[in-house]
Amino acid sequence: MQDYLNYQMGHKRNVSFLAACLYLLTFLTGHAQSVETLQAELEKLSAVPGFASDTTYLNKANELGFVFAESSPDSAVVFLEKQLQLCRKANYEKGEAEALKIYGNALQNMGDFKGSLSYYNEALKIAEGISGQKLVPGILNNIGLVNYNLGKYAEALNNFYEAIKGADQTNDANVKAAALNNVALIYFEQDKLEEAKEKYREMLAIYQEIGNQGRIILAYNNIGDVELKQNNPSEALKNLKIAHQSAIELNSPEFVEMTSRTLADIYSALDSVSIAEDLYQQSISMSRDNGYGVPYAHSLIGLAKLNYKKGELIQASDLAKEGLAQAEKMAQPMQMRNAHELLAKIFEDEGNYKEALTSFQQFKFYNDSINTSHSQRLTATLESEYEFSKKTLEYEKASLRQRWIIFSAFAGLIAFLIILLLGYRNKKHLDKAYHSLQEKTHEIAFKNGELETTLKQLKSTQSQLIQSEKMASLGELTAGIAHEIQNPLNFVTNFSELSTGMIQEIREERVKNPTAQDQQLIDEILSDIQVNLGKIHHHGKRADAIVKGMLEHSRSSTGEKVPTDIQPLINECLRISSHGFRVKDNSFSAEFTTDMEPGLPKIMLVPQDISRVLLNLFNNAFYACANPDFRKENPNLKPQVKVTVSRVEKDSNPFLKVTITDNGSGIPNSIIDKIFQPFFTTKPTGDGTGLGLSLSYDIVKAHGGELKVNSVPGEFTTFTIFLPV
Amino acid sequence: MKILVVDDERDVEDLFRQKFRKEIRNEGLELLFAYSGKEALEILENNNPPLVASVFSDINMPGMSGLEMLGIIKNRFPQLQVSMISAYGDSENYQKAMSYGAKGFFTKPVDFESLRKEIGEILRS
Repeated sequence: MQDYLNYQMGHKRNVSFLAACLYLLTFLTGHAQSVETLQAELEKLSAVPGFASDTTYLNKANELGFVFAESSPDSAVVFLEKQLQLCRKANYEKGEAEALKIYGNALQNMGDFKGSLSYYNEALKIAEGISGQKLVPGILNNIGLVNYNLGKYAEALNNFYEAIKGADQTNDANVKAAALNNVALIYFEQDKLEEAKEKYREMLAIYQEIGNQGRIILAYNNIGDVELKQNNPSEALKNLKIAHQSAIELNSPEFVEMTSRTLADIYSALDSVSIAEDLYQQSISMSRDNGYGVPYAHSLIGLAKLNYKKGELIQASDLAKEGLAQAEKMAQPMQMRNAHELLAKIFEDEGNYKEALTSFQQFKFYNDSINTSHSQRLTATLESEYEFSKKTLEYEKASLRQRWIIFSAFAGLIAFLIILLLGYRNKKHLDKAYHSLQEKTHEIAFKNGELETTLKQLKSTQSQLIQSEKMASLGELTAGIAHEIQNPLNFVTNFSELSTGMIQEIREERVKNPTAQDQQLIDEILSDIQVNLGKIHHHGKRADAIVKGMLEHSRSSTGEKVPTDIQPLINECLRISSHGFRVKDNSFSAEFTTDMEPGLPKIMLVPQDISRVLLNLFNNAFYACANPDFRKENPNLKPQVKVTVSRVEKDSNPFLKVTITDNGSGIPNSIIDKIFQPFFTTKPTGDGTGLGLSLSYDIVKAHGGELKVNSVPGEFTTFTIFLPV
Repeated sequence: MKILVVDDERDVEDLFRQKFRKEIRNEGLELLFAYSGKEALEILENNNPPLVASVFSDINMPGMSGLEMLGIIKNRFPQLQVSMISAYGDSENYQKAMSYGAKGFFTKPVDFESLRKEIGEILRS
């Protein structure tokens, strides 16, 4: 395990710098340019006058500065001093911040952490002033790396998390992934292996999304490292196989070497000695060719260990010594410790106990120092962990709070807007409803007034109509009534004349000799006179009754119900009606018969009103069967009007039933429903008011009775009046 | 000599009897009365040729009108003399009565003197 940890310690630094450079590395991958091509391009750009203030030139210069910072930090510093001046002169803040950051990179690569930190902070200040703050997360990530290298883990973690947060805001996936990698490294060091794996996987997902093959390899490699540390070599192998294959496909010596070395570690742990050997060999040759110092030491010692396992002591010894030399050159305490541990075993096996003791002492020294520094680090880590978790918590809380506040504010705003909208709509709706209600109220009030006026007019019109209808029917009947009066007047005239003559006869008789007087004749004449006087009286009364009836008819109804014998009322009305027709039409003739049940009781009714009903119905009946046109069309039909009166039970209540039947043309079905409607008439204009049946209907109703019609067109029409007894 | 008087007013009977009392008593006048056209026709139908010498009839009557009855009588008994009495002495009624074959036309109130002359002529014929 120490071995892997050792590797991890060395590897860590390497990865850290990779991560530190990620932002710009990505920026550069698009161009994949070497120092030579960059210099050539810059020369070309500087040929243009005023190039020093051209941002294209300044950006290109920064690219070159970045490559310099990684390859030869010393010359980079000189180059960047000039570049900074140019950016400041051109007032190109973005370029200046970039240059300052690269300057910081160079200083960090030179081991000047303090200096690098001051350059990074300067870069950060400028970057924070540029709108969008796009450069900020990358600089924070690099500051985090300095803090990490200074052992300030809590601050470093804080910087990395700030970087992640910023990268999230600026949508900078590369910086986010780099910072995640760095957070994972710290977790790895703190033995929080699950957390470390989680962060690496997040990072892997980002690189897969943006399709950065090199970084995908790195992620798989690092996940494999964690799995190995967790004692899951088979899981580790799975990840590394992917990483190694990709590295070969990418043809990147750096990644091929890295994955070969990690694979070798895994196979070594799995005791697949020959495969592990080959892989270490590959790593060693590539590291030697490309000058990868730390990996070189790592693989030499790893290979030495394999040879020792095989019992190849000489080879193991040579390799271990070479590895030790290399580790000392690179100042890698872990590798030095591992080399001394192995050498001590080898010397012991060779029987060289003195050398073995020296090596063991060296091993003890480095081991203690590593443990001390490790435990110190752990202590520092633990201390800082508390601080960090507090900060993380604060950050998370703050971010949660912020998110909550934003969410709440947003939700509140939406709710407020909805309420406002609803309220507004409601108000509008209510306003509208209120206005329309007001309008309607006004309208109703106006209409009410209008209706009241109309009603008044209608009422007066109605009474006028009733009156005129009455007068019309009266006019219609005047002739009939006149005839009715004429007859009794004739009798009065004639009988009084006769009586006068008779008295004269008596006188003549009395002048005679008393013996010659015919006493029998005188008695006869006297009794005739008496009868005649009776008749005169009777016909006088009769005329009187007719006049009274006429007056009653024309007079407004008193509406007073009086016990009335309906029979004479019917006879009188029939007579008046038929006479009326005769007066108007001399050829008029209609047979009318009455069939009245004997012993009918008097009933309570308003005589004027009921006689109007009867007159109307009789007039209609006569008109229907005896009007000249009808008679012309039906010359063989004898007009007949039949009136019946009888007692009936209706709903166990006694009623008088009056039927008036004519054998006229009948009422067509299409209009039978309308005949009781006011103003409905089939008579030519001016002949009828159209109110007769309507008024009759109302009058009968007002008596608590019923007026019904039954008709068979071409055969008969029967109106039936029911009047309560 | 029988004369038939047709009128729906029953008091016409008394009136005629009194007016023609002398003729009834002294000249053998016999008055028959009918109160409707229908009744009059029934009386006439009883004997053929009818025993009645002449008919005096009102025009305006319920049921069959006088003119209607005139038509029927003239149809059945063309020789029978029929005179009409009407309350409405308009020319239309007169024309109609004459065209139906009426012997005379009297208007109400009846001028009994002219009626007496008419009856006297009948009695003497």
